Amino acid sequence: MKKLIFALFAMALFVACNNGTKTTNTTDNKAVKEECSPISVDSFLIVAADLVGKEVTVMGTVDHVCKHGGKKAQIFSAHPSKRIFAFAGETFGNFKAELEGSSVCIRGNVIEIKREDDTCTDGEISVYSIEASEYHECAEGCCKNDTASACCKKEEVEKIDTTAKKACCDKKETDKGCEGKKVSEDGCKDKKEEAKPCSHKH
Amino acid sequence: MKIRKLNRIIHRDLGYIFFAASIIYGLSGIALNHMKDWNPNYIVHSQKYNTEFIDIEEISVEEIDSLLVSIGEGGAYKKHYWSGASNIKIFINNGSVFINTKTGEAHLEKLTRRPIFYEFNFLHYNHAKRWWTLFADIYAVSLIILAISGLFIVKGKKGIKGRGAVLTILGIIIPTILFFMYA
Repeated sequence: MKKLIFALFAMALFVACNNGTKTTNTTDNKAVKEECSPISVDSFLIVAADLVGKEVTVMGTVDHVCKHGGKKAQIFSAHPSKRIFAFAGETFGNFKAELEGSSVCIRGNVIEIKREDDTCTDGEISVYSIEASEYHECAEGCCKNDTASACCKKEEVEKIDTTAKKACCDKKETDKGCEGKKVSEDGCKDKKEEAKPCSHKH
Repeated sequence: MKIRKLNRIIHRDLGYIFFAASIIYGLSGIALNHMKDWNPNYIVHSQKYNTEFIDIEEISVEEIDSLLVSIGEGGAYKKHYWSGASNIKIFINNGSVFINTKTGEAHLEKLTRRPIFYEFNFLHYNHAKRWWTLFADIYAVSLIILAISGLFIVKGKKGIKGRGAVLTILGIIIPTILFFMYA
């Protein structure tokens, strides 16, 4: 019996020591995160080709989570017809199916997928996706002010947003990424979907 | 203490400690092996309803709330959007409702976690990380020890020098053949 107690004590001591190392890593990750800010799915789609291999945080609404394994989620922002995939990374395993309809910030590397890999899609979806390393739920629009959830440096986000806006406004309604939009002084506004916005109840 | 006695003690005690872990991994292993045949994590409840939302151009949150109350999902509204010209998708807590505004038909899909399996799969996939990773690593090492120590539990004809040898070789041959068949 004494030997058993000694063995359990040794195991507990080993576990405690191992856990201490993990805490240090978590602190380091947080320090990295605090330098970043997220972008919308719409902005992401316009500049995604230039971001392949780079790390970004995208914010949007979860439209669909693959129910079997939760390995993939479809995300959209202002335009539900323009969606991207987010693939669950090794660090967190899967997306919970209960996330559907919730706003999330997803951090990860931009990847380009093949069309035949789209086993869970039922609509228009970009070949540019996020290989997510982490995500968290957030209230509508909160991500912009929540620097702890970020992943791109602020100046990079401004550059992306400016590029996206410019690409949209320069090409007006002929651009693939600007269908149904008109140019205004405030930037690009949507004709159709402004009349039927996605509502959010508090 | 004789080596054989120590071997038996190790095998016995590891068996006790990791009884629950073996059940967790075994049961969820079967469930995950057959993911194409069923959803091991969630039960999806589907129900169709007829609504008055036919040929509509707009829908208010109040109207959606009324619809949700009528189908027993009052207060579950999260948000909604128009998918194309004639489909509305309404997100509710743990599910969604699709309305076809051409026919007025609403399709409710509600998710509930599959009891036992959701929890076991969560652990099997190591979604918990942290302490579970350590526990699972210890379990994995213990499985190797259990396997090796199991070879030497019984002496004689039914031990590793007799019947045990035949069965052990069979256990090695089967996965080897299957590997070369499908790899």
